Amino acid sequence: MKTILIHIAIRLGFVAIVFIGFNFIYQKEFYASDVQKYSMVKNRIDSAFHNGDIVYLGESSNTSYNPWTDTLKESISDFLQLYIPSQKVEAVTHESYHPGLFKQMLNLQPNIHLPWEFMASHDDQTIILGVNIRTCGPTAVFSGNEASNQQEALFYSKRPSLLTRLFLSLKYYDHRDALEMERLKFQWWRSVDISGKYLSNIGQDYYISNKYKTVKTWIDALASDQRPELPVQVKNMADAYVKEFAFLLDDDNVRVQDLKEIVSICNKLSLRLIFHILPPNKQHANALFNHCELIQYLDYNYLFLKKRFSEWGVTVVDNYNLPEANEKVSRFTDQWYPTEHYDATIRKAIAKSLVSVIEGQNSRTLKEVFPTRNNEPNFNIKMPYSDSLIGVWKQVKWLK
Amino acid sequence: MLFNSVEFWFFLPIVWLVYFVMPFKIRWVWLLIASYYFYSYWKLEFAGLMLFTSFLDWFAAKQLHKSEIKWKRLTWLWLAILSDIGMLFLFKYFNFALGDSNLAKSMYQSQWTAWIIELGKYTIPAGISFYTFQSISYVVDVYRGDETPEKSLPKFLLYVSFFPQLVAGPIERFGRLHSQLFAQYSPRWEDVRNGLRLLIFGLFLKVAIADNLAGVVDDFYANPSKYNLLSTWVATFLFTFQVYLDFFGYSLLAQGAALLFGIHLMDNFNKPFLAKSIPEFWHRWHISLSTWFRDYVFIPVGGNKNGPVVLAFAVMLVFFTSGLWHGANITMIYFGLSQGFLYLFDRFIFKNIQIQSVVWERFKQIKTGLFFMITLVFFRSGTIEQAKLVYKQMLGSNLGIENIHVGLLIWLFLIVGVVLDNNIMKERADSWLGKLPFIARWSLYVFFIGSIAMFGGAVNHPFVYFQF
Repeated sequence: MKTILIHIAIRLGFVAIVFIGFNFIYQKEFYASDVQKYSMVKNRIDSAFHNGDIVYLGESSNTSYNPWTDTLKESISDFLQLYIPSQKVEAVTHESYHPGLFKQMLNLQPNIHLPWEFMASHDDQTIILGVNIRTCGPTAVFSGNEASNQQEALFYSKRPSLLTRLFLSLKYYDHRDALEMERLKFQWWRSVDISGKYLSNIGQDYYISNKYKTVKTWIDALASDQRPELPVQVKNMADAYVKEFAFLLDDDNVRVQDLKEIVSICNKLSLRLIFHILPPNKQHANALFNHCELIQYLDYNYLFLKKRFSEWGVTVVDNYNLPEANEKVSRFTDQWYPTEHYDATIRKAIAKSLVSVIEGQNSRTLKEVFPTRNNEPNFNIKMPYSDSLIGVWKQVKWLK
Repeated sequence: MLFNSVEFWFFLPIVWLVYFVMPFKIRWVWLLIASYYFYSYWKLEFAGLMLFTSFLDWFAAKQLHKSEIKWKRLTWLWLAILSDIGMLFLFKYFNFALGDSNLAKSMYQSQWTAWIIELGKYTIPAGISFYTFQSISYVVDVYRGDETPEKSLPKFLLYVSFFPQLVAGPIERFGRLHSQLFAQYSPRWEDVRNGLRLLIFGLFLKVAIADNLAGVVDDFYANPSKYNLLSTWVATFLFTFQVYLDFFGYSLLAQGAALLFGIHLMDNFNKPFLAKSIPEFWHRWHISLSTWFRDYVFIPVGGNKNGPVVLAFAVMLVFFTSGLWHGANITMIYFGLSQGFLYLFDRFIFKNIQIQSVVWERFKQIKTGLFFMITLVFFRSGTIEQAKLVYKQMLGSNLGIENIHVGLLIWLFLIVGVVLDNNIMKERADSWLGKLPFIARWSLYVFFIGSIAMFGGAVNHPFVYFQF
């Protein structure tokens, strides 16, 4: 046995030398093109962390707009830059990203030299992270896109580049396929009890009142509703809202754990961290469910996050009840799905709220900003497609 | 756990080291624990399922061996077979059989049965077709008197679950594997060295070639109608080698991992594309499955000793079952039946054409490869409509405009893999590599390592046969 182990050790040593050699070649010749191919935003993250005074990490809410009617196409982070010209705002935006991936992005911070080696920052960088309540729910957690997101995130690391490439070849990431994710999602909808219960982990008693025990029983009831006056669009929307929002957060939720870890990493790196809670489309939720069952889940989850953020000592920009997001439902650009995609009015209002927290005591009355590269801005913009669907909803008294 | 995962490459050396550190008498217990850990790493519930079916087969074999009365022996035999097939049906075919029927809907409505529908729809227990067949062969062999039943349940559990061949074969017979699992064995450098050679070559075939081909083939099958005639043929050609090198690579990895423990698993492939007829092809492709069907289906239903009609029936039955074994999909049944027809064509018609010429011999090889390649369209297509579309394009009746994009590196890897397999290696990779001069051998190792590490396919594909 001893001889065999010596033979193996010699060969392993040789393989290690070969690996080091290949790492050098790979880094020099192939790494850059692989980053382009497999991890589009990696370079953007590097640049943002190196150059930004403020780094905005966000998903599609940051940049989405209505391409037909939204004359201002600036993202939330663009507006932020316009309001704070004295600081460099850098944004990293990636569709369907979530705290678990933002956490991995932080591995590329210049002050982390190796995954386990943290050094305090000296440049007072501020990290702003958009927190979307919907992203904590089963539909998002068990998303079919997750494997491809995790594949991209392999590159968010300072390990030797060839090791990253080898991990890519050997699928060393959460590579559960779309079918498996769908199974887990259905299992969640079928088995997790969301019905009436008292909850006390938000520092106050909160009672959820709902006759449906699970998401599945709820959506089955919606599907079997045969009222002829119920337009199919409304039924589909109701179905989507239940699937996306009918869940109750707790400390075991994977996204909550990721957010907690982000706080811890930023503390170690002495980075200023701001969570900003994005406004969901509460008007739809209320219209669909008569101001009743569904909104209580949104409210509870919001209160839960707020409580935890305050316990963790993190700065919060609370836009859950943003007035601009509650005035007109047509300010949400998607009228067919419960996304947090906003028109310029909301994006701008969010940016303003961020400025006031970033500047703190030094906050000033913001001058209105008008980007120059677009048409004349119109903050009261009408969204014809949205409004027509709202019209469809108005045919229905209440869905429940 | 998959062989092409980082976890496996930590798991294997740990299991190996501990195995040989342990006293001989309890080594097998360690291997059993490791095998169940290996399987349950993917899903714990499925390890429970394997435990249950193994127990049933072990118990039934014991009972039938005890009894002298024929009907009792037959009852135990069929109880074991039907319970195995029942499990296979429940987890693999139930959802396919039910389709969108009212029964399926009402089962999904019930809290008690919804999980069955979910499982059938979304997940198949890994390797269930392999270990079920292995288990059935044991019971039948005991019934036939070819084997004496294993007295110890845990030892039988190890025969079924031995991790290198658990999820995708080779489907080993009890006599061959059992005797090796419990034989006195001291580690030999020769076995370790050969095992490592098989592991590295198998990983090269899977990660550097098959996974890269998978990316190209997936792109094609995502929207076949946009590709032109040539691209359709290229994609079909590439898929043939994707399947072959994926499964051949897996088999080598299984053999390599087993060899580290001194266990020789059977060869599952023998240069199938050198076959001159479809019958010969199936003697060279997935040999452990072909021989299983021969011994437990083909011969019992009449084989080739009872005239052409019985032979044709036996062949079609084998290939129908084999198609279904490959997957719960109508396309797989078409795949199986098409193999059956080609088998009979070669057996009854083509065989009679005798021409003594090297060109004719080469033609037969090309024809066989081409036949197999064309029928693989059924294997890869998700639906019959998609298969029809691909066939239409192959005949040039629906010309798309796009060219398939296959990188130079992929062609290079494919050529290296095929040349090494078909043209150079007269023996298995481990013995062939061993005969090369030191410099040449290590140059190849370096090439394999570099290809795997720098250019391995990024498409998230488990082994093709893993899902069966």
